[in-house]
Amino acid sequence: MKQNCKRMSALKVGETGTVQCISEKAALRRRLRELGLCDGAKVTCTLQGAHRDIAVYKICGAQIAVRDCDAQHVWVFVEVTP
Amino acid sequence: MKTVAPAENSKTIALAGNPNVGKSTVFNALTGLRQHTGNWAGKTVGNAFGNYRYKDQTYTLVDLPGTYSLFAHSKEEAYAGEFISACQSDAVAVVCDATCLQRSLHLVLQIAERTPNVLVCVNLMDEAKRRGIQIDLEELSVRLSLPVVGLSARAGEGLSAFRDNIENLCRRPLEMPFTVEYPAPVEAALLRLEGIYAGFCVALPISARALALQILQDEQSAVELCRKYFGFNLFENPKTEIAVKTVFSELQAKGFDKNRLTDTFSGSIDSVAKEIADSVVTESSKKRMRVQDALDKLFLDRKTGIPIMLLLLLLVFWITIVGANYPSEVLSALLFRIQDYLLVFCDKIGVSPWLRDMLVLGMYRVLAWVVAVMLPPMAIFFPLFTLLEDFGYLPRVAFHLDHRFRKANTCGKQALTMCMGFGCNAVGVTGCRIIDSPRERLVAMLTNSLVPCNGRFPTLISIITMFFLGAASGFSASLLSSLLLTATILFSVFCTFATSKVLTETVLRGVPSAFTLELPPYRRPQILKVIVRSVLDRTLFVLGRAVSVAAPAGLIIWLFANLHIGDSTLLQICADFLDPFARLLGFDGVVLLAFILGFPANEIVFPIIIMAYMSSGSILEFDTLSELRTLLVANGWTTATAVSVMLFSLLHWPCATTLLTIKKETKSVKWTLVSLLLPTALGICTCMLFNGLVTLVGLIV
Repeated sequence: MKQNCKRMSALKVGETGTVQCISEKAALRRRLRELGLCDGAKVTCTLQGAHRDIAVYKICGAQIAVRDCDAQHVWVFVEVTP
Repeated sequence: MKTVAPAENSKTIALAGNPNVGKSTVFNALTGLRQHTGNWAGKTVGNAFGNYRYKDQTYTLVDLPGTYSLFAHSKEEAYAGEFISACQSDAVAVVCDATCLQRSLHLVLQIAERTPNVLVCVNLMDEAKRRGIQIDLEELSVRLSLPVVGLSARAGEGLSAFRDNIENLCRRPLEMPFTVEYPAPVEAALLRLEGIYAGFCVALPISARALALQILQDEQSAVELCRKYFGFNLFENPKTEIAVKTVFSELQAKGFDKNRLTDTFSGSIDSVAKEIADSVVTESSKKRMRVQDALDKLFLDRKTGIPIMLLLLLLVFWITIVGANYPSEVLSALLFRIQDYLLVFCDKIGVSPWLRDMLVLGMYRVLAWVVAVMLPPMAIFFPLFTLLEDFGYLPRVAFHLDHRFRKANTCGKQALTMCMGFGCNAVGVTGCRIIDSPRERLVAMLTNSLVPCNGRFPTLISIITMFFLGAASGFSASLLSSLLLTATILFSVFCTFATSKVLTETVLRGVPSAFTLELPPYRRPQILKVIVRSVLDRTLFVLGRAVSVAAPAGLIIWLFANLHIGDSTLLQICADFLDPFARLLGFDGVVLLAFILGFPANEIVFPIIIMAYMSSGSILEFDTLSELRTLLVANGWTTATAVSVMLFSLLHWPCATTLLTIKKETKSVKWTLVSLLLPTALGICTCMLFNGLVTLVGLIV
């Protein structure tokens, strides 16, 4: 099984990824980590906003809405079945 | 919100935890107080105090605002972080979410590193059970070396274990604080700093390691903490400052710059939290989540989400209008019958006519109007709004509105503060503390009064009912009223977007900050509790404030209407003075005078208008809205006047309470003045524009 690295904002609804790293400035990185987006955490995109500029992610059992401009700084591994 | 002063010789217990984990519910269950609770993150925006007694000892509970960590991202998180880091309590009870334990443990570990006396309270155990989540509390206690209790605070379960454990902690404080092990260079730096400050910390409640952690994690906040709580300058001695700088330089030389240090601290804590959570949490079923997911698909979906939001708004207004009609008429009839009795009674006991008229036709009549017109809609709107809040719907509104707020260069959380403003603008302004960015917080405060508070709803409803329903009656009339009120509210929301955009493009320029918002699980509202709480705590509070202002306002209006200067009454003179300007806005001087006199509380504006017209002798007795319409029409009101009054009711200066709150929150006279002038200027321009258009159309037609 292959692994594909992509931005969290690029996750499709229902798709799950594993957090690899967060490439934003320290303050936002810390806040995202406090919300459960630590390295190795599973994150699933559950819903997209009406204008596709915000999405809801299931992180550590909680539903968190993150704007796309913030979610694009989170890199996730997604398993790709051949 | 009711809180009490801390009792003497009491033990202080801080209630900390992530947002929306049930801290305020635990606080209320233990103290018997009624701190506001609701199903969304960020309700508690200040410290609330409450006492409870257990085994002859008084304990003062401090309900801290929710925080994800001890390092503040927003103003209300700073309160919690400082209170805990400065060890201001005898013990800290950290309330965790059983359905999301790993994230809660992040804060538990941070707190346990700083203070030894920590009780871990795993709340929402009932909800976790329903979701098929099991937590081994004994193992958790062993792994953390801290006492742990399981709670279902909403059902009142686990509270006796809480009291027992707190008593034990206060009697036999724990000796060894929990420590997270960091990479060797960081541990070496911590040891060096501990050595530097060991002497200082002997006499302080904070341990040397906790202070060292604070310095390495956020040097500025450590300096501030020591200055504010311990009264000493961290770098008083130049040698100390040099020693600390050297520690930072050495860390930097080993590749640990400030960013990497931040990552190292949060990364290490994350790893420990994950490891502990993995060893104590087992998940067996996802049944409950399927219901939650289905509800979210319905309420947040691109196609159904926004129509449902608008329909819910319409439904709330429809229930408010339909439900308020009958009690309003009954109250009106009852209170005006009492007025007649009062007049007769005054005559019987020989009260002089001028004093009788001043007390009964002045003070009592305005009071009666405030109660009859204002109470029923408030008593219905508040509980309905609280039910939506308890259900967990408000953050979903913020989710839908985020796009528009982002376009206005502000934050989606402004939607939450705006919703709070529907209840009371002063509460909405205080609620702005949940917004992280100071610039966006200021925008939210300045624009909060553009949405009508509960004190303005009855005025809007009355005007709509009197002037815009035409021949409609029954269901169609109430539906039309609700549609018009919804349209009015949407117009005020549009004004909020537009004003925010103008502010962020001019005086408060900046890029939107990061926005993350937790969407709480849907919970079944506690209907009876909500009704009792809303009526007792909120409706009667707002009404009490209105009544306390209405009585003197009624007196002033009566005096204005009865004191003669030459041939005219004082009321006529004031109204005539304001009349030319008021005519430009589309109404008369009496209406403008009522808005000015209604500055202490919006609830009294409409009763003052009625009182002023009645005292001018046009009509003396009426008890239905159609008779009230006759009174207004007799004083020159048209449909255009009604629209102008509605526009000015939406867009004018905030009430005195809101202004004082803005002054308190911004600590700036300049921004308080801006918050006064901004909606007023907007209201004047909008009314003039509308009136100009009406005049133009009238000339053409």
